[in-house]
Amino acid sequence: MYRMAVVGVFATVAVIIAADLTWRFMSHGLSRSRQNMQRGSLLVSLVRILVNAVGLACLVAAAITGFIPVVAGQPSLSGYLLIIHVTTAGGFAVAGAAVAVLWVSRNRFVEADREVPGVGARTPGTNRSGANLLRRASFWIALASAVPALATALLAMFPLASPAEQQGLFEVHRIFALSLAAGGVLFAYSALSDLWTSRRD
Amino acid sequence: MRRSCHFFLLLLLVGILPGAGLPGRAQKPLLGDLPSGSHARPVHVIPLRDENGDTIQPNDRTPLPYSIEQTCGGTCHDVSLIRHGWHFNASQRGVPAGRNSEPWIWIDYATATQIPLSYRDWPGTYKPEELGIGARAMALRFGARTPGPIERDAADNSQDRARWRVSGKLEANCLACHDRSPIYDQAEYARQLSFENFRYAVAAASGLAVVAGSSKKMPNTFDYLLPGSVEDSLQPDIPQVHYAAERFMPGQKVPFDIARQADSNRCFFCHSTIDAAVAGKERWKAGEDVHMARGIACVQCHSNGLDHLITRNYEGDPVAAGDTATQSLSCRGCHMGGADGKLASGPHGLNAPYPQHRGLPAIHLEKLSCTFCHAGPVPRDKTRLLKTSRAHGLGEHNANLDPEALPHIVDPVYAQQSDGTLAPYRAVWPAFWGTMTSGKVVPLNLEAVRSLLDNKKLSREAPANGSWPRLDAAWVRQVLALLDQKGHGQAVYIAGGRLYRLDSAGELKMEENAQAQPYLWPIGHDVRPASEALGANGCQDCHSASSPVIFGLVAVDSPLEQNSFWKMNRFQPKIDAAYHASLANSWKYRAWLKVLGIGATILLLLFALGGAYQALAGLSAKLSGGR
Repeated sequence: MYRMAVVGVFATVAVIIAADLTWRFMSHGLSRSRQNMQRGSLLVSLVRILVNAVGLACLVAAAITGFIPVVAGQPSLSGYLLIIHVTTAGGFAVAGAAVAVLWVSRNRFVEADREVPGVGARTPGTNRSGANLLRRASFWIALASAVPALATALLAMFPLASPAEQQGLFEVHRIFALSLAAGGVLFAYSALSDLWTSRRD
Repeated sequence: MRRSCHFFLLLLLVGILPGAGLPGRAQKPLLGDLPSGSHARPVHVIPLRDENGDTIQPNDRTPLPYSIEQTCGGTCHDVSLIRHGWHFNASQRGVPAGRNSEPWIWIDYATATQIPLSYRDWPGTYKPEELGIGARAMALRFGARTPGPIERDAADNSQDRARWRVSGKLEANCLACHDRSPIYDQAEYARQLSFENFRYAVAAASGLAVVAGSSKKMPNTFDYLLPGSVEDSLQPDIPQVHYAAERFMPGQKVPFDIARQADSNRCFFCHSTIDAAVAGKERWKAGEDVHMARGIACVQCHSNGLDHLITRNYEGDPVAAGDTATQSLSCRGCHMGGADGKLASGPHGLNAPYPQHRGLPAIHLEKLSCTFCHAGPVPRDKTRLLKTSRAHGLGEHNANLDPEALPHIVDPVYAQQSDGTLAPYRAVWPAFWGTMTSGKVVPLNLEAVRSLLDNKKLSREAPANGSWPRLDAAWVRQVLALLDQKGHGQAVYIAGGRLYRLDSAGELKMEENAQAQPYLWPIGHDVRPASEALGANGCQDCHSASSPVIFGLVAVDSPLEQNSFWKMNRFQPKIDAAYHASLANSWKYRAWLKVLGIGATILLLLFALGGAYQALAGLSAKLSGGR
């Protein structure tokens, strides 16, 4: 059941990305924009890039190690995969919080987001589009999912839950881990594509 | 007509032979075997009977020793059925062996031999007859540490057979377990066995009589019914029984303090264990099984019916298959309602506490036996020497309490069970002489080896502390050369986990061999409570680079090498030690992981709440028309 859900969610993510890429290509082409590049000192920019890169890398590593046993039909996550998963998940917790700090202000929903996203939908002066909505939505999905995903893993590390209760925590963990992974991948994609895609107002 | 005769014969076969298939099985329950349903303890005021079933007359000029099988059996209890019970069938062949348990460990200092023996088919043990050890020798060495019976067998030589007639039978001793009298003395039973007073031992142990004399000093022609037939010089040593007349009631009946459920004190005589370092010192420092400390008796869990097939209570016991009452007596059965949590409370209604195991991932319950964390001594960096009643005669007169006295039993050894789960074990390293036959080491007749060494003045002597005799590689080489000359095949010596043999050039070679591996048997007791279990101090009890359960050292016991060790994970073939080392190293950062994880989660939670607030504020604004 969960295996089907994992496959289904990631297939949906792939479809969304493919559709968005198609839409972007058809409406704007692939010229690079410089307008959205954030300004600041080189050091700050490097730190920003580093934080985002580490957050993404840890997310991908934790997701791969976490979902491989599920897709492969193994009974549980164990052995070296577990060590890598816990290590990268720890890295993600820290880097993910930093990514949230960097992106939360840019992902607040504004009036323009209430427009139905579509080709060319935009509000004059706001420099927003349907792609931004995807980025914002995925950001908040990932953020909201990260809290229970991390909390359940942390709770299991304390002498609080019995083995049966730990199993319950694990079930909750993997449900939110799936939405976190899906939201995180979509957010990373949309953030990267925002940087890349030309926006001519 | 002819067909109906055949049918009648068939009915006879079907009806009669099954009854005949159980040796000595009574057709209907005897007086004492009929369960009355009462909880009350049955009173036993009974006449004593001798081997022939005749009532003992204590005032006879030369009274005979009473036979326990005749006294308890006869008209009251089906002893022939009881003799097939778990303890009593220890010397019987073809009995389902179940999982490994403590063997009889035969020690012979002259030949530097320490070998686990059992009549049961436990892998790693050897049958006594494989070494030419007859039932009589077993009875003399171990008879007091079992309720019997031990009867003469094919491995007994003609001298043994003659001595059986002198000493009498070693009967099934009901009193060893069921006599609650404070004067019943199993150590006296052992002392009488050392005098070969087999038929007198129960009378002496029960305190109903004083036994003097020694069958050991009697000639092979001695007849206990005609004691005067021996020469005058032996008269003072003729075995004699003097009954305490005041113990007899009118009618020559004797009151016995018999308990249906054996007192734990009786079990302890054969089932005590103690850390060798504490033996002979402060018993209270050796700890106690939590169940015993809470007042639970052995027999409340290790129960049996009239057949005396006492439950062993380990998971997977084939005897318990399909029997929910027996299954409920295992650790999981009693504390967790079985593997699926659906078993009813055990028949004794002990209402065992359900383990909380807070913080313990469920996979531990799949990969580890309950005993892994809860039974045996708390592990240290190295295994320790252990003394047991059955191996060292604890409680018997003249037991050698020196910590180094053989046999050397080491524990706890954390090894994998056949189902892959880890459990604590005790181990004894075999040391014996044998020949290599078709790739298998066959033990040599112990008496033959000893005679050979005696003739060549190569026999070793026991040191004062009872540990291994002093020997070296040159001695092993010498003995192997002697044995090779005998031409029984290539002679080998197994010791300390290695096989020693001579190569074609006559040089001593040592190599690995499966039969040199230690014999392991699982630890069931003493059970430690949660506060003393592994994990009580945190995950690092096991998940640390110095964890004794994976990286500890198992002492290799050998007369040839001192201070030799095997890594614990050598007994855990399915465990990846490198992985566990990595996992243990990662544990150092676990506290950081928790702190940073909690900080990150709180921050993300605040952002999520902020986002939710913003969304709700926006919704509110929308609903209120933008104000």
